[in-house]
Amino acid sequence: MAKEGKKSSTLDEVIKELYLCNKCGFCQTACKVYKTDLNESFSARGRVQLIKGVAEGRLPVDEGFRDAVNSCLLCQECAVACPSGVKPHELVLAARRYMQQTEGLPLDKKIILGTLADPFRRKVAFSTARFLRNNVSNRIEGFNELKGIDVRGMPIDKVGFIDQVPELNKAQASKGRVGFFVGCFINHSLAKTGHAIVKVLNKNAIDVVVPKKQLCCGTPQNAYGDFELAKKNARKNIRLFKDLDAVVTGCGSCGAMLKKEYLHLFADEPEFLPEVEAFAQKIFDFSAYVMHEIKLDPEKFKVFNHKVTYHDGCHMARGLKITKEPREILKSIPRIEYVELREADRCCGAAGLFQSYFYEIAKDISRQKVQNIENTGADIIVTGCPACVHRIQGSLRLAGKEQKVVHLADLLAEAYQ
Amino acid sequence: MLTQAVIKDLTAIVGSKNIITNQAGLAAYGYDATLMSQRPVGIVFPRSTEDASALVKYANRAGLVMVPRGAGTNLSGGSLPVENSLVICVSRMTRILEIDPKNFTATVEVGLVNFDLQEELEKHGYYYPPDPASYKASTLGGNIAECSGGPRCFKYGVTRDYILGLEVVLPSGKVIEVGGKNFKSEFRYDLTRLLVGSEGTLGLVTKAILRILPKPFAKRTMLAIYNKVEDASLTVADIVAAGIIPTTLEMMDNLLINTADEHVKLGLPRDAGALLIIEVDGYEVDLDNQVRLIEELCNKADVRSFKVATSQAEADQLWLARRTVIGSVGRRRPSYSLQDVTIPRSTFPQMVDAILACSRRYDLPIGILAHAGDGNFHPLVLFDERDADEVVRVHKAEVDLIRDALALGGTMSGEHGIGVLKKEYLDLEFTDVAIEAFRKVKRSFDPTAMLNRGKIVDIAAEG
Amino acid sequence: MQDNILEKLRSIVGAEQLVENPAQMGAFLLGPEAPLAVVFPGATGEVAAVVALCNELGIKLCVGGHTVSSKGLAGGIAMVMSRMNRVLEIDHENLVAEVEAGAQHTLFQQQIAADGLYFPPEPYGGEGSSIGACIAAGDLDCKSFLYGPPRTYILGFEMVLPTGEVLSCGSKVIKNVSGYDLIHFIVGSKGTLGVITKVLLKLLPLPEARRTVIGSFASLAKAAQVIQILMERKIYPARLNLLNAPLAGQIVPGTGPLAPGHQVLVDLEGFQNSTAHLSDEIMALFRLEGATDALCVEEAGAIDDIWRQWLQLKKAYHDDVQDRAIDFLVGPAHLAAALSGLEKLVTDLDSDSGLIIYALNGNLRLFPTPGHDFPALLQEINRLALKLDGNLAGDLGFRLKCEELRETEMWQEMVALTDGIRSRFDPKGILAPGVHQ
Ligand code: SF4
Ligand code: SF4
Repeated sequence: MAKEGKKSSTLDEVIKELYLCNKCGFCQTACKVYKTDLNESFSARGRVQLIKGVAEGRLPVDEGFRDAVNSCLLCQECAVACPSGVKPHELVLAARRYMQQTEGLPLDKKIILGTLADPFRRKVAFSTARFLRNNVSNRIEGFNELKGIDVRGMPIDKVGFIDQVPELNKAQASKGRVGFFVGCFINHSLAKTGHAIVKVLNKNAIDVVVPKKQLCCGTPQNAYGDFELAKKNARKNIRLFKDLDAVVTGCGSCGAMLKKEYLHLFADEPEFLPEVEAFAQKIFDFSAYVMHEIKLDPEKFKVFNHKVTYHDGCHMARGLKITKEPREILKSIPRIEYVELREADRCCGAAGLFQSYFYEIAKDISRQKVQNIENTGADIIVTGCPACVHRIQGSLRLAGKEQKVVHLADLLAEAYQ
Repeated sequence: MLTQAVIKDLTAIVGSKNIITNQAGLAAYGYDATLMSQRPVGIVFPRSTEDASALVKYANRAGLVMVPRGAGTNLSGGSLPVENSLVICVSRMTRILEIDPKNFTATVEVGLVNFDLQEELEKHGYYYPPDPASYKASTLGGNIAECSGGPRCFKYGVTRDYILGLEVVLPSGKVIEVGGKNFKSEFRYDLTRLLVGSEGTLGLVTKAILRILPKPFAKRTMLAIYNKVEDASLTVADIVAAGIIPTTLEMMDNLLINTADEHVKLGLPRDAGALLIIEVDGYEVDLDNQVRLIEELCNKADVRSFKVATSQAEADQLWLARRTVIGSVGRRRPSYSLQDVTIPRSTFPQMVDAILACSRRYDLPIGILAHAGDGNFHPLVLFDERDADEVVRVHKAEVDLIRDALALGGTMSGEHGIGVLKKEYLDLEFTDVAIEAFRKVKRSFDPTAMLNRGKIVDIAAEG
Repeated sequence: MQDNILEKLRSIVGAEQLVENPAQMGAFLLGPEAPLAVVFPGATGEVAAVVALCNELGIKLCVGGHTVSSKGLAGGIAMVMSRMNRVLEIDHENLVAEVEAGAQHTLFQQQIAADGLYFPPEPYGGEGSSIGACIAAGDLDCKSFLYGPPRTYILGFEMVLPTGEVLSCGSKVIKNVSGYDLIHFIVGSKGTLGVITKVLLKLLPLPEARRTVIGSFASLAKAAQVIQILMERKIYPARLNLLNAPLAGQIVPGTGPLAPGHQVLVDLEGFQNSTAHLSDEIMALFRLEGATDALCVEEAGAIDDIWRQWLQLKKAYHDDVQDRAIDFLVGPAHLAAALSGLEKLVTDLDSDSGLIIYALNGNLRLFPTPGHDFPALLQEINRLALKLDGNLAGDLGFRLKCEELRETEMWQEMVALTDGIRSRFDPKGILAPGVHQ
């Protein structure tokens, strides 16, 4: 696992990869941001070339450069398309780290990142958002949308999921035990999904442990180059789940971070690395766990008369490389009509902070997703990433559409009714 | 650098979202898929023909040389900005104005990406035959400017054969329409043919009427693997002699088999000398006979294995390997120089020998990719751009390959164009009379060389 | 002065290759104006010398394969290329042939057919016309849908420029984008940019099988409907033509004439199996759709015979009624609409006025009887064609379109641009004086 490649910590170290890019441009179609804005600096190739320019000292780190680097969704589509084996998203990460090291993050981003990393401040932030929604947006006529994000529709739970459940959630006649890495999104705004995950696992005779002290996985900090903060939390998380043999996640981004990115993050700490590897080994996305470890029994599902489609989150599809499991699970539910979504694995426009910094592009990207969903005729859209649930549900709502977006666990929990 | 006044004027034409003047932006529009780069002074994105015309008129007044650009994937430096020029990028003119399958036409704005059009046509059961390897990224405007080919040319021809009409902003800013919806609407001269492949030096094309065709009823994709390149070329000659015109006869040598397989993971034999991807299309009832005949001919040429793709997915994988093979050489050496020489089909083996000799002469690995049916070779000379000595050798190898192809009665460019990359070699292929004829053409459209100056030929002021 | 010129010309081409006697010249001229002489060069060098002389002295020059248009040629020179008629090379491996411009089109086709090779374009002016004429005219023919227009088949050429230099372009490769595409640009330039002396042609393997199916139909509407059905079934033969009743009688198969009516002529070329299937399918369809007569011809000689008659018919109309023919195009799917529109404008389509249709290209050629108000008809048909995604053919079509759409600026721009190209190639304006007038 660790052989996947050492994450370069500074620009100097990634120069080698920069020279692999032969500017063929094949990644342009893959890059949703480029396809939407049609500006070369917002394409994978453009980012790689600009980073190369900075690395070679030909270009200054100016606003244009920062925009190019910050407008990346980290969706990794470019890496799949690139025939030369360049991983533009990793170069972007390196560039972000470089910028962070040399000049620090811009203030507003720093606040958000710090907030997500710190459990106390995190609560405050999500409740501020709730306050904003309840007190401002509901009162001001027409304030439904903040930079393309559906503020009114966004659920923000008063008490986080972690505080709603006991540490140990016993199943009847239990046969096994897993840890549940909840993640910020499920914790603060999709507690329902958290409960669904517990329920489905319990139904299958698995006890679920929810360690109370778990922290943010580190995706946002990692994405914007604050590796030190990311590492600090990662270390705590790894220790916290030490005694569990399997850990389930309900979020593609958390999953990819825990399973793949932690290895990169600690590539420069060989003494700690074995522990990280052991941790990565036992991380399962919810869908993979129920399909391979539990083996669901479709007999137990109720008949489900819905037309359903599936959206792959970026980190789910290209980080964790999970695409088959959710589809097979869905198809196994009796009477469900499954339709494939065009461009199912393309980014929905959420991409963490992207949606608020490049909101016009994000809006356009989401519009395309909504259109593709419309074309399927499905009434339920299933995905494995809470961020996508929000983004897509919000975009549908803003477009005046009725379709429902749910997490795979939500749908399964309902099928067990 | 553009003055604030010029920026203001340009902004007034296209709006602030459609102009770029910051350093990073200029750098991002300074390159294409070649190794060269230059910085333009600004980038503007017309959203309509009116924008484009106003921009060109303004640039003329302001004395700004203009470079038209689409996706910037070209391989000859045709869209490379020259010093102090303004890039007019059509990438945001992407509308499909009409798809009229019953009359076999599609009318589009030229910033539309080839692949995006194909996807729309697919819904009607139609397609647009020219699909260069870059078709997922390259714009139709770029395809028109370079007269792109692609793997299906042997049977279906090149971009030139599928452009019925164009809307063009002349270097003066005036707008004309040439051609129309059929083969008979040219006025006096076939200006459409002149504009196709003119690399943006004669006019800025804004719209195009394309000829589209119904998808073939059936096709068969075959993979033939050989121990030696020579065996593959024998098959090519035999197939043609047998009266079959496959849509595709693509060849890769050992080096490329390896890099392609690393990228696409088809499980190709890594020690094979060459492979051919052969595709035939037409009526279902005719194809089995053709496949049988082709198999016989492959066997005659000592084929090591011969396989017909049994599903579309299998065929698609083969195509993916083919389409991405050029980029995949990055897995061997970071840089490559891609040539585009084309020779009469009968001299195929001689050209292969010439390439191998060249590789030895300069001690550089050269991968051989060829549209074998067309005699169109893409030798990929692999090197590292940071190694100055290698770069010198690469340049020498490039000239040698061109000379070799010309000696065999071929041309230096089958589908990539002259641009700036091959301009210095133009007189190896053309007589002074021909080059002077090129100048006459350029002067007729653009007497002061405001558009894509320095590409194909230089002209001195007339008078 | 005159004698001096003739003397120089004789010294270039040889005394016996020059005709100056008006009576003798007539056989080589189209039109009433009289040149000084007709010359018959035998080699590129001679052509170049004649052109250089004309350029030096500012004498008009016009070129043809067997006959030369004398329009604007009073006091000038007519050049007939019939002596330069050799097929220089047939290259099997590369599917290429090199021929001199004066080579006879049909003879060339027969010669390569014996070798299993095929050059699809139809001769421009009937059987006797030259390859050079086909390239210079560059006109679409009824096989263009399947095989592409004539330009598809030119890979290179040798041409004497109006200033006397020899320009060579192209080679035996089917893909070539070096420099501006003069190779294809000269196709259709009608002798205004230079005198083509040699061409390099792309060939195809001869189709494995051929069949011809003919059906007679009682009305044009019915015939158009049948064609529509064929196209909807995605049947695109090598030729799919419609002759109206006044012309249909000129095609007589070996087995005797078909029942009178409007005739749909289908020429199938391809592989054995599909060709057999398709001819069966078409015959069945003809019967089903109420053809008054239908015939499938399978024997090669009989097929050739029919298409020879077709070419003769085409030539007859080409030469005889050119000035009062209306050549226009519509979107091929609009053929039925075009015909019903046309029937309103021309009421004797069933009995007198001739109509030839290349259905796949949506190309209609109308030969109205002299009673019609020709200029008015032209305007009406222009409007009809524009409405149906088409236009009148060529230069006239462009002019009328600009008038109809009030595109004055574009019209002026195009005239200036094309004049500019021509005058840069031919600064003294000596070549093809009758063209682009
Ligand atoms: S990760 Fe996604 S957004 Fe970023 S460059 Fe790659 S394709 Fe574009
Ligand atoms: S990153 Fe890869 S796909 Fe993109 S331009 Fe570079 S080599 Fe091509």
